[in-house]
Amino acid sequence: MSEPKTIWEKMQSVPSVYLQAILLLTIVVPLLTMVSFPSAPTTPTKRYYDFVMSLPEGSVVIFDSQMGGFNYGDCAPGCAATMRLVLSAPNKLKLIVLFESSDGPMFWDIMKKDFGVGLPPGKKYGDDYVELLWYTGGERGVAAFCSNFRSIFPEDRYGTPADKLPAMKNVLSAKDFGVVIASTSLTSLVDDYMRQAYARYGTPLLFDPAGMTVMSVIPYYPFAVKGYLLGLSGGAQLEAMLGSTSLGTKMGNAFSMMSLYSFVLAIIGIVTGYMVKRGRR
Amino acid sequence: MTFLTDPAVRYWGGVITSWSSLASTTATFVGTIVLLKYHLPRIKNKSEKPIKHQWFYSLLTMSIMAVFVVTGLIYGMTSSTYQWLYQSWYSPITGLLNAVSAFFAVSAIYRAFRIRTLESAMLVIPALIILLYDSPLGAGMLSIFPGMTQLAEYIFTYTGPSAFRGFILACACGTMILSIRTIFGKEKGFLPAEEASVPTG
Repeated sequence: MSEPKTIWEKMQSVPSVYLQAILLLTIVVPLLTMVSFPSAPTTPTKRYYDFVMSLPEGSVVIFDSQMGGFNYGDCAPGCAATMRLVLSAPNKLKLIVLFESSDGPMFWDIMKKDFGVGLPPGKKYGDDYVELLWYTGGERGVAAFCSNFRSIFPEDRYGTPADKLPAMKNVLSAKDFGVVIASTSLTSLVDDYMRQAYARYGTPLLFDPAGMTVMSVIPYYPFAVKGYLLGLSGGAQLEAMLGSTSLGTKMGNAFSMMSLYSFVLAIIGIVTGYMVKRGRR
Repeated sequence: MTFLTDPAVRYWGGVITSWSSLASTTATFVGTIVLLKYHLPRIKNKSEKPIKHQWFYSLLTMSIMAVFVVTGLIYGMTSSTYQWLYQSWYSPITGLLNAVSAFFAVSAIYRAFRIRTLESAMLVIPALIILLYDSPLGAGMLSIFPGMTQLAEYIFTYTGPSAFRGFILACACGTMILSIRTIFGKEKGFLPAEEASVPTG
């Protein structure tokens, strides 16, 4: 290959390691410093927030977390912001968390620690908030607990029977759910809840989908799915709407910087590519 | 199945879904046997194929699998020992694998995004708009320009999911065809070269 001659050719042949080093800086700097960027919540995020706030007083919110090691970055900010939103909503909502896989409880604990979320003053475990274990069998599992909640979750993750948990007192089937929120990177889970909760019982849905999973959510929005958080970005937006600035905001800032850097690189790449091609004519 | 109301179709859809749960559990078991069959001879023969020090990597794979299986069987998946293994080993590794892809993506964006034809412009321009829309700061920047947020939401709400549905349908059809070919022994791409060349039936 011949040596690059023009400035455009030199720009095109910049070694990847330099581009990657700048990327590292764009991610690390916002995480280490509390740089504050303005952010505008998108319409689905606003609808997500509004729907939770407009639920009837004392409604039960079922939160299905599929958060694991591979989608933690995308799902955790939304999970943390949703937990804050539901437990601090003035309509006295009850939050019941359950998991799609056996590693769910572990990652839920990690999320609570990383993002510093817990029960706000005046809220009590068992009365306002319950953590269950995981269900198995994919759609069969969802169908089973939608028709008979106690058959799959007879006790919470600490072994307390459901009868002794006031938050679960009248929660017998999906008819008793005010809303189901699922944080997931499984496209199939979206259809599972559509078929088993919305189609059979009319239970409204909200989603915190990771990455491309959002493409499976959008066809049902805004009718069955009342709103959604667009992965990490949506989680950071919801956090900003709640007026808190924890790890979600920092992660959102890092993601913003990374996206902006990618955008600038793409534009430079397109321009240099065009100029090199033009110079060769 | 969401869009079909016929009871027979819905019934068989449910039955096949149950089969798939059973098949995936069985596949995990079969997968473990295949993994053992692949790696154990390589450790025994101190194999340097297909890559240098293959026997060492095979040993590493088998050891990690053994540690997880034995710990899970002895202490249980909810034990603190298993959780420590999961949180300290599995979780950082999966996170790392995802994170590393960002570094390759940046390099690819710089070198591969080119507008040479109208078709490529139709791909690249919406991609750049969505790149901004997908981040909190970018969404804020788009809102400065009148109509840009609406355009991004239109692309994201209508164009993207339509293409994605087509993609999912194509993948599903491809998977079914591949499965049928594999069951009937017509598909041998997954076999080593010497076994793939042996004619069947």
